[in-house]
Amino acid sequence: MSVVKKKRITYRTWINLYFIIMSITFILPFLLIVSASLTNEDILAKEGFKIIPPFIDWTGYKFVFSNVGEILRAYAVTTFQAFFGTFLSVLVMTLCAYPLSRKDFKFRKPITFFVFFTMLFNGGLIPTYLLNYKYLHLGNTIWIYILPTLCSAFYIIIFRTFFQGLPISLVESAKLDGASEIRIFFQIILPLSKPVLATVALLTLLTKWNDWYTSLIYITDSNLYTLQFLLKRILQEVEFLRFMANNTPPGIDLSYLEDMPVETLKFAMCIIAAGPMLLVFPFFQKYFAKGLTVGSVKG
Amino acid sequence: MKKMKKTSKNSTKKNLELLVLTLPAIIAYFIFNYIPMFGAIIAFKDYKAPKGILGSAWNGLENFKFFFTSQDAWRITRNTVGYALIFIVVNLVAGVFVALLLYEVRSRRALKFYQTSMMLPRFLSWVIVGYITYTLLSPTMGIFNQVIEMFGGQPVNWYSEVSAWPWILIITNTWKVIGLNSIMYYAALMGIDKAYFEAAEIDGANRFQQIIHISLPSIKPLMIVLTLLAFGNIFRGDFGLFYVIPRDVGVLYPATDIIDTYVYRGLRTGNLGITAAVGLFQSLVGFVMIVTMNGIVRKVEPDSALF
Amino acid sequence: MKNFKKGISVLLAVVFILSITLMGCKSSDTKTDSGSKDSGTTAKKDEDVKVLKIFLGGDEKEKQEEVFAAANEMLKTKLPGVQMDIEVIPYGNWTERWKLLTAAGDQMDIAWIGWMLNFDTISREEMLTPLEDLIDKNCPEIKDVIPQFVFDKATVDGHVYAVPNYQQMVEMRRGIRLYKHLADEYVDVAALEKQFTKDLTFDQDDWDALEVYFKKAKENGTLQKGPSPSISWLCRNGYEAIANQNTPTYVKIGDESCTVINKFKTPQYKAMIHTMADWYEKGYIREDVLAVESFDKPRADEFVKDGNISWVHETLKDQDKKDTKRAKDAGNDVEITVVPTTDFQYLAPYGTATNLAIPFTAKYPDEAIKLINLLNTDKEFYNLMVYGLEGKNYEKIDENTIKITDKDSYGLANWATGNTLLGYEIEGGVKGWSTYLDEMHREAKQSYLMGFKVDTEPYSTTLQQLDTIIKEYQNALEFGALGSNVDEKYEEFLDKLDKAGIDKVIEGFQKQIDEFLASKK
Repeated sequence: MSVVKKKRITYRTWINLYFIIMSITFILPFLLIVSASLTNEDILAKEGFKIIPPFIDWTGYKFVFSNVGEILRAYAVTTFQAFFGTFLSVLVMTLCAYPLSRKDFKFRKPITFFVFFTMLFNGGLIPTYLLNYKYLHLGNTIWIYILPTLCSAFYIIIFRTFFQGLPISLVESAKLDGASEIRIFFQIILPLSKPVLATVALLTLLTKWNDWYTSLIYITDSNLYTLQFLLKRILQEVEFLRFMANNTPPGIDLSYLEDMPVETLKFAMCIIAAGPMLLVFPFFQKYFAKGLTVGSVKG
Repeated sequence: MKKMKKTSKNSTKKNLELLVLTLPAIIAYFIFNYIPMFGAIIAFKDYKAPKGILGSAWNGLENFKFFFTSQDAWRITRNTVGYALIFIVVNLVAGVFVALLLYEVRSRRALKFYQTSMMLPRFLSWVIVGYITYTLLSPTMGIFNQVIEMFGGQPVNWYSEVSAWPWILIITNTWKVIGLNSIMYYAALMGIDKAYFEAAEIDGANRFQQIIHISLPSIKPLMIVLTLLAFGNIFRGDFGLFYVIPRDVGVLYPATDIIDTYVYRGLRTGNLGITAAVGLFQSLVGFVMIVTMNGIVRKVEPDSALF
Repeated sequence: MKNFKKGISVLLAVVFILSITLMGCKSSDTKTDSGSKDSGTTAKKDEDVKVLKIFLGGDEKEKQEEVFAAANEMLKTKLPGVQMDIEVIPYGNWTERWKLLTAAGDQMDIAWIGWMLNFDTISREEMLTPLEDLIDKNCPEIKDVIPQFVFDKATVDGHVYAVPNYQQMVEMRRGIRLYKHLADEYVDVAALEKQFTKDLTFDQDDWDALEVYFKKAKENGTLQKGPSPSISWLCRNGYEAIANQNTPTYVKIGDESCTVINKFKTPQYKAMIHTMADWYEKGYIREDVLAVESFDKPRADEFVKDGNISWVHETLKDQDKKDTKRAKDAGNDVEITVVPTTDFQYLAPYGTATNLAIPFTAKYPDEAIKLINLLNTDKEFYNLMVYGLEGKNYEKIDENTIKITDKDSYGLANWATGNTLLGYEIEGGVKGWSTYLDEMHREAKQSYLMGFKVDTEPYSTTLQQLDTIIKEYQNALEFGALGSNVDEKYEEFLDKLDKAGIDKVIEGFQKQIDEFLASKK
């Protein structure tokens, strides 16, 4: 008995060791970024990345937050479209994936193809823009973030795969009890799919949270900018001014540019954008943890 | 007789109900994906904005010539497809491997910690990752070279060493996506009924055998689906990875130039017709690949086929 | 499960409410979207008032609505019946926005056309309205202020498609920077200048003369980081870029026949790369030049302490003083002397980086050109648009000089908005700069091809391939890092260019040029 236990312990130790090393490769760069965001611009230029900055310099952050109203609005817009958008998306996608997972669904093949086709083919930027902006008038509204990207064929197929893995006996017994498909969906399928729901929801949330391209294309009202777009704008401004300083147009006094935090700004922005998501992540993470498995399947 | 009638009525009802569930998605797809698809005809037109999509003249396959007659067509295609295939294999193996190992971790806290750290790269854009790689690879102050020098070696100018880049790109890409991949497979592993493991243990199977005979088969459908879907993008590459990380250094093009970066550089003037043509071609190839692979899967493992 | 559902709904509700509240709190100063009507920027509901939609380049600033409102007020007397609705688009977003605005056919009366858009191409694609007739009809007086060559720079296939913003437009008159105290000791600066300017090109004898500076520096241990890679630009002296700075073809300045040649085959290019390689071997050029210099900041060591002791850049009025000041600001207390290598300024025919144009979707082209005219001839209006409101954004020091007091709430780049020569001078800048620029431009030599734009479209594939090859070889060849291997790589490079079809391109360009020259007669 004790020999087996010993073997178990070593084997587990190895695994944990492996993961600790792996985690370091992920955490270290991230720490460097955090540290760089708090380092003074000049020191960063001369001495490069360090784990611990010589002293904490909030200039990067101060610069970004100098217009607080703007930033808060961007946070609000981003939060709303990301969360609500994810909620709607996951709902619509799972609703579609469930029938596709049912082998006895008459339209299974054609609809799967219909969905999957969009993964590969799309009209491109101009046609999509014309439709959304000119004909559907979604430009400069909050819905542009949510509606066109409601469904992702990739995730629908992922959901379908997971749903297919659930025992058909559950569905059959529910049907015998006279349940409608929609009830089966909400009361049986969804509750058993927490891991995949959490995974896809998290990934969708992340994607939506980081979206800046939509703002670039469709939004001119600064009240509807997403966080990432606003941050990129600020960075562009600063980088451009820096560029101008290096190619000094004659007769313009640009000494105020010397205090501009360009590099630290980039890193501060990264943290500002990523920060909230990192806080959200643990909330989803509990659905990945073991123990929430399919206990009720049998019988 | 009565029984059969009841069944067919039930089955119609059931099919209708299921159909209704799919409607929101179908409508969304139709409006936002299928209608704009008609715009893909730009690929066959000499698109000029003042004339609009419909008004611009047709020019047949002219737009496709840009790609096919270029000296570099072979090189960029080889790179694009080569990397795509390697990524498929590496992502699959690494993702499954890490997921299986994660599954062995007992401590909930440790698990949380590992998973969170693996997801960190997902929060970083390629631009930021580019800074990190530059810090490592910079010929003068880079960490790699500093370490090499410490051991008495000669520092390498990484940004002119073409042969190093396939490795650099593969490792960087894996680093960035391993979190996502492994979590997907992990979620699948979580769906396995613990009873199977218990039964196997009673039968005397060791952990390794359990993994081979229980864990792996359970995630096989997901492995197949993800791989199959990846084939759809075989003619595409992640622009951020191939453009930002090598810093668009010309010397490295033989190893880092793919279709997407090539087109981007060549079409900064924004010839939309050509861009559309290349995109269409990439989609077409991907489509053919998936359909072919799907056909093979259908013969071997019909349940996992896409359609 | 119930808890889960409950938790999610509560979270969503909170998030929802929070975001709606925050979104609802609009501060009165924020920019409203271009569609909504705001009393500041748009006109009364008069039928007679024409509202021009204008797209400028720059950064959106907090208080820009105020300034635009003031500008609109000013228009009531300067251009009655016309009001502006302005959107300021950041430079980084212009390419995308232009694509979309033109695709959707949205009304654009005036648009800023910057370096990120290919001016030639969009003109040929008829995205811009030809202006010659509009100008003659509505504001011929603009030609008194803006010289003909400025319009030439925006002329494509015989039509003027934009009004370039008049600013410094000459090609780089290359001047070699040297540390004065070293130069005085090691070389005869006056003799150097004579040597360099005796002919148009920078040849082997010129390089040999310059080498003395570095040789002595090395001997005396004052080499620091040697010459900057920008030194390699000297091989471009005496040549004019055809069709623009990105194509690999040149025409010799002063060559009336305008014969097109391969830029990399000139004797000057050969001399330059051999010199660079030689200097590398001799140790004048730093060993890791290829590594450090090739990236973000190839010229990062110019001006700075312990950096390069020589580099090349433009030569304008008081260049010595300007560079010395800049070095001082960078913490490097040395005096810089600038040795010009040509004694004239040159105007090339290709387009400029900043223009105002009237797109094909303009609703009021006549009014638009009149407004452009204002930005090019009316001092009051121009300065209001660029600098903002007196007392708020700046203070007047004297009639023509100002001090900027608040740059955060408003400011547009003077070169993105109109005729920079109209602008106020900034305290601390060089006095009389505008007059100097104007004089300099009128005295500059002009290319024989003024008013002509080569059509590069038919060769775009080949050009793209050539560009890829050039990117692969250029730095290695020009920074000297190849040392004794330079000949081998050079032959390889030329060979690849040939195989890619550079001669076809040369032939094609030549044909177009010959046609143009013939038509001029």
